Amino acid sequence: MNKKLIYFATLLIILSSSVIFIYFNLTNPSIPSVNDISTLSNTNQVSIKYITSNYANYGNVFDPIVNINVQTPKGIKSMEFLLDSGAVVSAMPKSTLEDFNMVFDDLNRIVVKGHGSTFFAYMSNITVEINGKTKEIPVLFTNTDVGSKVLGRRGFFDQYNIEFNSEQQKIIIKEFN
Amino acid sequence: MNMEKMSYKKLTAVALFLTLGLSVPIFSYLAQQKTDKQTSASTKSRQEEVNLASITQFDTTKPMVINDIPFWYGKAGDEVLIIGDQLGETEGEIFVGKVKVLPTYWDNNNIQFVLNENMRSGDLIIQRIDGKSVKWSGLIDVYSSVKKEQIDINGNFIIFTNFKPGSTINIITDDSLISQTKSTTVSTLQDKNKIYSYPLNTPRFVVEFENLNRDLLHNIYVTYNGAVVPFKLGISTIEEQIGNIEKLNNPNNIQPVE
Repeated sequence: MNKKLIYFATLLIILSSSVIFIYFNLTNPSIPSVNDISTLSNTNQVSIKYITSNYANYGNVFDPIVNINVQTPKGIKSMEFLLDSGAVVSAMPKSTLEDFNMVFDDLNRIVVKGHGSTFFAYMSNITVEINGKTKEIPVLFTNTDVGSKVLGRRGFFDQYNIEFNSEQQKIIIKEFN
Repeated sequence: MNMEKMSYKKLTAVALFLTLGLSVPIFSYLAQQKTDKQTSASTKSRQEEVNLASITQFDTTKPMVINDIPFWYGKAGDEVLIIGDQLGETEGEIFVGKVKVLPTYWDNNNIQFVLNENMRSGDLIIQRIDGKSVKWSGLIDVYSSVKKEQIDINGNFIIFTNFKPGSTINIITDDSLISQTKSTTVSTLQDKNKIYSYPLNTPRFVVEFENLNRDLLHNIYVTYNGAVVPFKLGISTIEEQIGNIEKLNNPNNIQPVE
């Protein structure tokens, strides 16, 4: 077989693979450890880099996603949360109840109303680690299997100063006394 | 293109040019395609929403109606939502099993209240501020948060709580007693009694009778893997059965009727 043809085909494959690899890593970054806000930093604040997603019609938009260590009966588990200052309280889908060895019957049910919708959710507390310190925050378990875990105002936004620094492409979470 | 005549240098350049040249339009196209990322910031839009009645104006000429109570059962601390019409614009009174309950929210279409430790299962009556009232056709079922197998009888309902999924409910009644909850089997016994059997798959199970006459109710028992499961009688049952307790088996001495 033609040596030059083999060389050319091999080169094409290598180059195409490299370009595809670079493209998908730029557009779909895996959650890097830099988004972990549980680890103790030297100061009273933690800083994490923006993660962006490519949205239809809007292009690249940053997602305020953090990874937090959550205490469960099975041990510490790192969970991904969306920072959501629009949520009164933190929320998790019912699929996460299993991590806490709980069922809805163990929790109190409340009616949640907001933005034209009404649904039932179940109240609990979870213990999380933020900047090396453990903290109990209230959380609502929602009656759905899908959806992000969100950190809301009660227990998180009212306990920390959260700065979205778009110029430096980072989120700074600072505890205040 | 004759590759034989081209140098390796030229071949490399052509490969590089082709890769970069084709990747620009391909990735530009991909970038414009829809992403699976949700644009909603929170989970709110993905909840299992409750269908509320449409918001209506208060009109005293229209009838007071309770359309739905999505969770008509619960333990102390659980919130109940009543969906209806012409419930009134200002707070009236709520009665559960004749006990007055304070609302946490009240408008013409929705009322909310929280179950408390002192409440027992019973009828729900909503009384508007002008004195008009409506009784819900169902039963508000308040159960203990302490997990124990329990059977309550209230109105036309027999309520089974905390039995293991996979258990079988057996209710022996007089032949003339008609059950509205569909059972797996209904067998007629020799003494003209009949036995209703229900597979129990949820921690709460309610059997409704058309008109539950306790004198026609002979025996209730639950089996799991063939063995009879002991249970405690609910408070409402014990209260209502005083003086007639032999109608229900003593939980420590349950013998199914053959």
